Amino acid sequence: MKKILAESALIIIVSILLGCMVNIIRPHGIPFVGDWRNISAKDSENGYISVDTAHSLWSNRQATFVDARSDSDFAQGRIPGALNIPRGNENMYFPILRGTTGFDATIVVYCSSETCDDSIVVAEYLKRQGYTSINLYKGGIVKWIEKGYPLEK
Amino acid sequence: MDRERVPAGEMKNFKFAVYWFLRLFLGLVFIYASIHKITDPLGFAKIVHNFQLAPWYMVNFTAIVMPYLELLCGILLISGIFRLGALFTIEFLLAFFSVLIAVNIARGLDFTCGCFSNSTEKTVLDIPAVTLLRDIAMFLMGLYLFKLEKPYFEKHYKPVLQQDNTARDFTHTV
Repeated sequence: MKKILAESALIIIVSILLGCMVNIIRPHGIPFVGDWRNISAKDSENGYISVDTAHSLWSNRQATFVDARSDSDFAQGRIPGALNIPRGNENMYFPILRGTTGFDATIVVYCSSETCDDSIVVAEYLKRQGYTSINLYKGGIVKWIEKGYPLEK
Repeated sequence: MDRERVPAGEMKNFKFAVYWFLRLFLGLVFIYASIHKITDPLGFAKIVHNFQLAPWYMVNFTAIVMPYLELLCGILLISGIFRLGALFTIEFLLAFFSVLIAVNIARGLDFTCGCFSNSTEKTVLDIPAVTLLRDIAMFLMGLYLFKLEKPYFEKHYKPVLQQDNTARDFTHTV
């Protein structure tokens, strides 16, 4: 039995080393410690907007949309023109937003649905970076699709 | 490394076929389950977070390491290298996740397993109760595989008692 436990321990150690090594080498490795602390919606100081307001801002090109979902979900469908800043990997994707917008730009952050809190976390991150006009579109991509608004893939 | 085949004389042909089926099935399931997690670690980290599996500061580390643990266990189980250690680890993972799923079901948590996909959209196979049953079934398969490995275990992992009941140093290859 001791030998089985020793083999198991060795397998776990090799897995840790392999996982860490690949994550460091790969171009899209994730941080070893990500900010996954739950943030309650009522703690957010940002304003919420409805799907119609979001659509209005989008159609009038009055805001830059930020998609807080993972890059794989983003690739499957997003609000047209949205930039992807996935929760947990904000530092890597933030430069794209920073390169195209000033700190006074109107930003609308969304994720998958009303129950998703990724948009809150990314909005808080953007606020810490210096953006002053951040709106949370709470309905997410689900509500956008339900309304029949256009989608980009 | 000892990759000795179980001698055909030690079990009947049917049991031998079952033995290899279980080894290949469990091994391939774990290899397959690791692929999407390796290609999309952030997506898997989100699943880990929603699962409430680990404290927030351990979510990413878990998402980084777990896929390689699954991949390695699958490969070792099939290849025969350290296969009992790999099987033990697989059984531990299945037992752990079964308990976790059962607890989350009892808490009324809405989550997806993330076992074979990082998508948060649910299919029939992602229904928590179905996931739980699936994991329990694989756990039982692993237990039976352990039972079938008993001759190998006794030959290579346990000291053999001589007739005078003195334990003999067991020889085994690493």
